[in-house]
Amino acid sequence: MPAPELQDAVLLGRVAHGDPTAFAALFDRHSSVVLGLLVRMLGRRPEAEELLQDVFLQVWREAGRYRPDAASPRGWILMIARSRAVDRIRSRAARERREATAAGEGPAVGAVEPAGPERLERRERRTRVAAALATLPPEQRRAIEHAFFDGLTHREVAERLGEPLGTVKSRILLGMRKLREALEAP
Amino acid sequence: MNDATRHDRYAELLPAHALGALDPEERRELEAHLAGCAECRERLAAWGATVEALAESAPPVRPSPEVRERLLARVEASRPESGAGLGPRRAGLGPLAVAASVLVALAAGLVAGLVATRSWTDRETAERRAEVAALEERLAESRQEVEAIRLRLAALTELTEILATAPPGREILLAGLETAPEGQGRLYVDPAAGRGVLVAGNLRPLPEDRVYQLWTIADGVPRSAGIFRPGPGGAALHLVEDVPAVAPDAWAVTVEPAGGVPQPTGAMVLRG
Repeated sequence: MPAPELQDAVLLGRVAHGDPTAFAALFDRHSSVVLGLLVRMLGRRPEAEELLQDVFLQVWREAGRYRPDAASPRGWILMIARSRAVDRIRSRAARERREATAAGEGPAVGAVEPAGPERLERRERRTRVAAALATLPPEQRRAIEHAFFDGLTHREVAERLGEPLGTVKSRILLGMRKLREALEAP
Repeated sequence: MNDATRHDRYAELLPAHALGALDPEERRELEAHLAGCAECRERLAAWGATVEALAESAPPVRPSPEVRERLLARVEASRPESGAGLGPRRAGLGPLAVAASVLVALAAGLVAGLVATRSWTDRETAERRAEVAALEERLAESRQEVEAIRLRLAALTELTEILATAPPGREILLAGLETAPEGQGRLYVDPAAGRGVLVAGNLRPLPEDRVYQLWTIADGVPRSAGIFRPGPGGAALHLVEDVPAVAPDAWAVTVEPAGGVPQPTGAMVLRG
């Protein structure tokens, strides 16, 4: 386990014992990335910031459930965030279907502030992911992004893109394999 | 479909599952398989890093300071021990428990490292599989140790608290009676908090179906103050929950059937 992850694991351990200082440190280390994900998924900054609090409250309550063999602490927090955002997207979709407003208010992306100085290694890693994503054929990349950031299942991605289900499944599988290879390459 | 092909099919569902993209039927089917297949569970965990990288690919957005403040205030307010009372006990768990969880995290890192370097091709050797299994076993053991340490710390912390807060003079000596002249006990009580602790030594070992029971005696009426068993060296620590506010006439320890009894029936071994 690399050093930052080990520090995160120790912080999570302290959070599990109700240590607010450790919680604040964990928030400071990861909130920008988590909020980045939420803004990307929800499109609206106020809603994303509100959900950010719910996500970290869940971290506070459930830190004791973290299992280091299943995910890194950051990965664990990000997956909580994604799952809460998917719930939000789904209930929003249901509400919007109910309201069936003709004059639709599109998903407005709020003003996204720059995140300030980011640690070099993080930035490098992000650049690397962006580069890996860029190597994917656009249709594979789109299918993966719809699934992950829009919270869509195979079938829903197929509907959204108007492609056969089998095609979408194999695009996601191939794209994920390529992405993983690109990330694991030395 | 034979077993190997079915296994391959499940392996093809894993990346989509890690992404959260499976439709309900497929997800249920895969989850049923995962429940009984450690190899597929490990493979799934190995996809975690890719999905995490994807999650991090969104440009970071710094939350406003107000969000941070509001959140920290809510957390502070929700602390179960934010008043007095249990505070020191939980705080006291800190350092050792943290050290223990670091050990667990380190062991987990080793496991994760091994899992990550595992290739799922023919090159994979039985040796490495055994190493991973052994490390996983050690990890499970460390977790149990951590749990045991936590429990012991909780008991010790409570004990220290009682000893530290017991006002002077509220210490009662219990002497061994004829039946067990070498036995002795020392009782520290905090009548205001209604708690106390009995530290006893040189107690005789008991058969499986017997326990020691502590009593308060006031106006000739005995009231149970809990049961305990001595450790291998004949020493015992016993936390007393409801110490009467008014000092009783005497404290006594008797030998009773397992589980304790409402009224003393056995031989008295200590009294003070």
